[in-house]
This record gives sequence, C-alpha cells and structure tokens, in this order.
Amino acid sequence: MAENKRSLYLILFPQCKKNNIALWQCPTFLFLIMGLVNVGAMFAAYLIGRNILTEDTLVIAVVAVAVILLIISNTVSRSFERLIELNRMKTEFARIISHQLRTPLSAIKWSISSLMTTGCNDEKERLDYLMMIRENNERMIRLINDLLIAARLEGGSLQPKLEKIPLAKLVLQIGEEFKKYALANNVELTIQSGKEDLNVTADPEYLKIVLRNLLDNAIRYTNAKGSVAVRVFVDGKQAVCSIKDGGVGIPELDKKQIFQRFFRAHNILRHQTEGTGLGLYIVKEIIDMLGGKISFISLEDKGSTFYFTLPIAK
Amino acid sequence: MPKILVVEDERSLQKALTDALVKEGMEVVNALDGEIGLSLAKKEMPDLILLDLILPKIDGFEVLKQLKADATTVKIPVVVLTNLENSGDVERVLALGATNYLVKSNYELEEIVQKVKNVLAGKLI
Repeated sequence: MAENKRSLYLILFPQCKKNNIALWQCPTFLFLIMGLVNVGAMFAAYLIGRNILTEDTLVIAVVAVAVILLIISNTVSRSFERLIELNRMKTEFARIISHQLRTPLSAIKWSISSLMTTGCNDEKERLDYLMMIRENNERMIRLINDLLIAARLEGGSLQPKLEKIPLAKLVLQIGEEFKKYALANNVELTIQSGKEDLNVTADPEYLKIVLRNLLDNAIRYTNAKGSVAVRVFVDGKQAVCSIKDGGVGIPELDKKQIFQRFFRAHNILRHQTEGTGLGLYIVKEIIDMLGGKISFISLEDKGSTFYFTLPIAK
Repeated sequence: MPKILVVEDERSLQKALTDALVKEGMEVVNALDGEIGLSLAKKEMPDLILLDLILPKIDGFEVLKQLKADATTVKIPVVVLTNLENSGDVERVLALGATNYLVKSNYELEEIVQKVKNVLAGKLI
C-alpha cells in the first residue's frame, strides 16, 4: 500500500519529487487539497443552506462562501510563491557560491602544487603561477566582500553616511578605474560626466559600489568591438546616471527577476561563467537605501541601458 | 604519447593541468568552451577527455551527451573535473556515460594526474 501511495505521488507531483520536497510541503499537492476543500465547503454550504434558506438567499450564500474561499486561497497562494522563491535562492546560493569559491581555491591549490614540484625552475613559469595565486586570491576577496555587503543590505544593518557629493567627479573617477578593463575587452568606454557643479546627497563609498557593479556588468557582457556609454544629466529635481551597453541584453522572461539575489539571466551563463548574481541586487538595494530609483531597458542581443536617479543636493 | 583533451574555461586551472600533464610526457589539447571542446574531440580523437561542467557556449552536461551520442567519440573515456558537488549532478553525469566525477578542490594536482594515468591504463579511476 505504501508503495502504491509513493508511486502515485511520483506521477502526480514529479517537480516536488525532483526537488526532494515532502508531500505535505509540496505546493502542487497543497493546491489540490485547497481546491478540494473549496469545492467541499461550497457543497456543504449548499446542503446546509437548502434546508434553512430560500432559493435566492441560498444562491447568494453559496456565492459569498465561494468569494471568501477565493480570497483565502489567493492569500495562501501568494505565500507559496514567496516560499518557492526562497527555496530557489537557497539552492542557487549553495550552488553558485560553492562553485565560485571553489574555483579560485582550486586554482591557488594547483598553482602552489606546481610551484612546489621539483623541476619548476623556470623563472617565467614561477612568476606566472605566483600571479595566478594573486589574481585568484583577489577574486575570492571580492566575492566574499560582495556576499557580506549583500547580507548586510538584506539585514538592513548598513548605516550610510550621507554627504553632498559632486556626481561628475565620482563618475569620472570610477570610469578611470575601468579604462584598462574596457581596453582589455576591446570595448569602447565613453563618459559624459555632466556639469561639474551637480551635487547629490549620497554615501560616496556605496555610490562607488553601484557605479563599479554597473560598469563591470556593462563591459563584461558586451562583446568585443562593442561600446559602453555613461551619461549624467538632470531630470527635474533628480540627477540621473545612465549606463548604456551594446551587450547581450536581458531576455524578456528574466527581466522580472534581474534584481534578485543570485539570479543570473539564462543567456549570460553561455557567455560567461564567472559571476554570482549579486551585482544588481546590491545596486538596487543601495540605490533604494539612498532614496533613488533604478530601472533599465533592454533587448536581448542588442544591449541594455541602466538608469539610476538620486536626489539633487542644493 | 597519450593525447589528453582538457575542456576547462578557467585559464589558471587550464595552465596548471596542462603543465602537469605535459611534465608526465602527455600531449595536451586545450578547449576554453564547450563548443570548441566538442569540435576538438572529434578532430583530435584524444585518448581521454577531462571535462569541466560549467562552460561558456555549451555546458559540460550537453558536451558529454553529444560525445556519447556520436559513434566516433563514444568510446573516448571522459572524466568530469568540476567544482559542482551536488549529488544530483554526479548521478546525472555518470548516467550520461562519464567514466568518473572528480571535485577539483578536493584533489591535489598530482592525484588528478595519477587518476588520468589509471584511466588510460584501463582502470576505472
């Protein structure tokens, strides 16, 4: 009997079985139960009501019960969506982080092995391996910093130090940092930093993180001979910074989730395997925290333009 | 001289693996993405393929599937070398016909080289 029950479970709810979710936690199963309860409740309301109420009142009563059940079911369904999303993030987190941390760790481990073997006397080769160790060490530090920032943003424990900042100066500074990276990727980077006297109220360190993440994405996901253009301008009482790239763009289906933690759009895994899905999450949380807004327009294979606004400081 | 195809997109790992295998007297062919990996497998007919799973263009799972579906490459032993360590991934890879599944960060370079030699000698791993 237990075997038959389990096989039925497998046939009816393959997704839950695939993700090792217990039957009583399986959303599909619970929706089925909810549906049956709804139908049963309406039927019961009818059976009870037909002995007490007139026909018209009975119809209204059953419809009322149906509406109440609909509202309850809707609320319950929403909470499932959140549960499913949390589950996805948890799984993705483990998968992405273990891979992204393990990769530089393996590179360092094997570089050290190679350096320690007898016969590694070639000076250039030794230097190559030492540089590999340094690069991968930096990579792990960046990843852990991103994880910590994301965790603190989520926990709401960051205390931004708001100052009046000249936006043009900051944008030029960060742009300068990325010149070499753009050149290495054969991407043309242009920066129109706008008026020098345009000031915004923000925390400079966090704003730098936003600019770095957006520029890094723009250059990284743009193919060779493409271009990235940064522009700063004013729209009413807001300062706007736009970063336009001729990159791989964001598929329509992924746009809703693009700011979620550990989410990476389906088309970029084919393009680049390094990446945690934290960059845009961090950008959005910081901009929200600073009282600004972030948005984007994007076409797959054509490119994206990300905009963020910040209140102008008088 | 045995010929090994290393399909790995991380340059540092590619280099370390290649240098170690070459020191052991093997010939190494490199592929930095799944697409190149597949075409090189068919062109070079290596004696063994070391295959990463997370790859640009075509991922390791798809490469493995296609290698085993092609009569010319089906007999080439494939050792999956990855940092994914989901038991689901291990099962999936072995079901697709890989000879074995090794998690990179759990092995020293010398151990990987030894396992390559073992598979070439006809042992399972």
